[in-house]
Amino acid sequence: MDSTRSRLTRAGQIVVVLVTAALLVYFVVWPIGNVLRQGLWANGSLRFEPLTDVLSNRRNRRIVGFTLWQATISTLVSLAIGLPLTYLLERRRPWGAALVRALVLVPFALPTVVVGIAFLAFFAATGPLGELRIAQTTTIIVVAHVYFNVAVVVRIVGPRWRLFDERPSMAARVLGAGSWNCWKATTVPALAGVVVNAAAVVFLFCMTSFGVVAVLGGPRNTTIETEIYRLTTQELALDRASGLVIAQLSAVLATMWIAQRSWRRSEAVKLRVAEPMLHRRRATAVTDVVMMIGAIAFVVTPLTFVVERALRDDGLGFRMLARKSAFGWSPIDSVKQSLQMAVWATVIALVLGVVIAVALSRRWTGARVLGPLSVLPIGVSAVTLGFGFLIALDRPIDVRDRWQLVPVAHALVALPIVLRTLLPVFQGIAKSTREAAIILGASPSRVVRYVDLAVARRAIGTSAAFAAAISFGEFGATSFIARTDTPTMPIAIAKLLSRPGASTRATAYAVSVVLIVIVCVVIGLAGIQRRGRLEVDR
Amino acid sequence: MTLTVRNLNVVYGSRVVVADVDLEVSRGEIVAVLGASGSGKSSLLRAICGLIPYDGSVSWGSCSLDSTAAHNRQIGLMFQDHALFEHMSVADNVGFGLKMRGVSRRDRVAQVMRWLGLVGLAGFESRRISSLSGGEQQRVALARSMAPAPRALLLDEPFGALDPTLRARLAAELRDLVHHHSIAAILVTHDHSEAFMIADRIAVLIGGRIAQLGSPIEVWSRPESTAVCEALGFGTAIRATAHEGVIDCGWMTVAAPEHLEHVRDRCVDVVFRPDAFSIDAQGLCTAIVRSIAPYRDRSQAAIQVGGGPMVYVDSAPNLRVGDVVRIAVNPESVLCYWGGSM
Repeated sequence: MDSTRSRLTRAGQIVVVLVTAALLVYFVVWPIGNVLRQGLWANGSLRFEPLTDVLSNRRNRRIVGFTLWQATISTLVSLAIGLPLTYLLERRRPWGAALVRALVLVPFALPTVVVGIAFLAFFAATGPLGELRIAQTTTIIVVAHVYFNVAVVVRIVGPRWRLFDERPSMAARVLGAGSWNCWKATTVPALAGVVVNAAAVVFLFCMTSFGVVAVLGGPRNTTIETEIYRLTTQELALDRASGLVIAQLSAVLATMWIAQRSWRRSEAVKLRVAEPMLHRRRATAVTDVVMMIGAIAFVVTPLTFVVERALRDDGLGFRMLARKSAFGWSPIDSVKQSLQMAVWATVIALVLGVVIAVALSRRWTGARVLGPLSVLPIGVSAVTLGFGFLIALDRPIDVRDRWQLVPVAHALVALPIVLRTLLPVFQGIAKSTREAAIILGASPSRVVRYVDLAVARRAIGTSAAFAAAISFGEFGATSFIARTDTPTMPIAIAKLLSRPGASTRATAYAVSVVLIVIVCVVIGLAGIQRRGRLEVDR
Repeated sequence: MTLTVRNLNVVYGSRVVVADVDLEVSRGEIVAVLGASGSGKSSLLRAICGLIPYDGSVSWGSCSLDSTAAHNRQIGLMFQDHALFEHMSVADNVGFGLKMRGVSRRDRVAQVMRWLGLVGLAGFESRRISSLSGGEQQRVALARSMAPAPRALLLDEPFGALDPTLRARLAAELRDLVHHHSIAAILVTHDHSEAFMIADRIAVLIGGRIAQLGSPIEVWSRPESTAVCEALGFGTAIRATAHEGVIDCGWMTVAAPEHLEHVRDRCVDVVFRPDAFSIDAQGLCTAIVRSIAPYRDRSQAAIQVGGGPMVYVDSAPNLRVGDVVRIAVNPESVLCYWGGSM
């Protein structure tokens, strides 16, 4: 057999892997490495002052403590609401469960800044729940995090609970176990892994949350993430920021380790083979109806107040969209800027995601290195990544003021989610399916077109929607690198909110409404399952 | 035209999976490669297709295929799991190979209809693969493999997942199709009944090497080694002694076959065909009935001769467990091979 061709193919694979790895190293490892170097390296020697400063400085200790505390409370409350809701939607399945499930997942795709502004409208002194006086308190941060992360719990635990194999429970029942013992003996062990995984992911999101805390927290509620932002942009204390980055990175890695471990454990649980076997039950209890209405109200109410605020004074906010703001740009420019960034970010994330997924699923030479490199962005917060861009990407040439850096940052933030969607699909394509195509005369490029891309087209569509939604809502990294003359929508909202004046605030709400609509349309498009054409020719 | 495989070797790391295989398959001929799991059957087929690297040569007539990429060899392969494209309709699956060869849409539609008709799936064009039964999927896979008119067709345990009735019917249909279209076909299987049902010649593959190649009658009546006997399902070889016309198994003696009549004190391996034993009042050996179980329309008794292994015979109506019976051995069903030295 001709070994020259196989050598050429292998060489081509190595080149693709190397180029992809080089891009990830330059845009992820290099910036993070520089952040670490900034903190731990001075005058040619290691120094631990920034690290010890995190522990010894009272303010830092309070910030770290507050970050962990609010993340823990947010996680526990998210689970307390999310798990019963998941049970209702996935096991009891009352009438309308599908609609409620779709609605509950909406906040997951919403930008954190929008969630922040929604709660600002809701709990502000002039808002409907202003009397509660929780604006700029820890409570509002926790409530906003819960609003955002209930969707995460439903999304992670839901599929496992839906396909949970009932047969062991049946076996336990016929062996004499009552409801409680049956639940303890079968359901809890089966779901423990996935619940811990969901808790770890929620904790991670809450710990590194930037938009919610920045918009709602006020000056007294500072987390590690907002403190890193303050130190680097206002005080220019890069070494102190590096210490916090390292502390946060350690906490993130520990959480990710727990998440990974629990996910593996959950994967070992046997699931039902076919969903149609499910025993469907309709709502019979009043509690089901109450929970469904509560869930709908929980998701929709804050958003309606964003719309209401934007429409106040005869739609003042919307009328201001085309006018130039005090910052020198008009809000409509930020919409255009966000659209442009989202298109580029989606393209970059998809190209990287597909290449990495194909390389990993086909076990190309050296592809294993791409796995950890591509999930690294989820391990560092967006603010850290943006900070890393700021201090590292001036070498070998200074690219920090290039607009292209924004979509690259967005793509890198989206990459782990894109990969999580694409990789299982590419890994699920049996080797024999590709071989069948080859045997039937398909060249390697046609195998990719007719098998890999054709099988994964829905996953690619979903990934594109997620990447676009993430790009539209990305706030942390963009805060560092966005060009001030043309901000993206979340940056525009934050800037508008930072200035006093009713019209400026109304404009911020109007931009938020535009952002909500765009994100909902993008996510909605991903949900539309294109009907396959069944003719001979495609 | 002939598909010729010469001195073919496949090596995974340091493990030789296929060793020195020589095989020739003519148009309209089906060669069954019979072997146990892990004997290198699937690797042999993948090498012939060009899906995995190999040493040796594969040629079609006088044309070497060694430097031809798998997608240009025009050799069809029907996979064990069918490897159908789940994301395509039945028609798209069947027409895929034609599309890759640049056949126009109109001709493709006609060919797809023709092949679906031939495999009994007319009207299934727009069905999804997931909506088909195992037998229907197998037919789609067959139509897909045959539609591009391959030079040769390789079949990797194509009936593995089917029930026995459907398997027999589809095997007969496949045999007719291959003969009718004069395609050179190699079928690999671990099921000897399937191999004997369909093949014109049978190659027994053991440890990656062809241990015996011949017509079904030759292979069945004259297996060349105890390993071939095992592959044919004859049971495990027993070590015995041949001495002056008698084979002494320790627990039983039988008359030696002709070629061992004059041997003295030689170690031999003895294999009994499934039909070697029968209950017979005139039999030479006594045996104890250990169990009786119904088998189809009759009963089958497991009997033990002396300290020897359990053998199975058709039971008599009045037989009971614990009975001592006399059994006869059919010398034609006793196969002897030279064993190690005593």
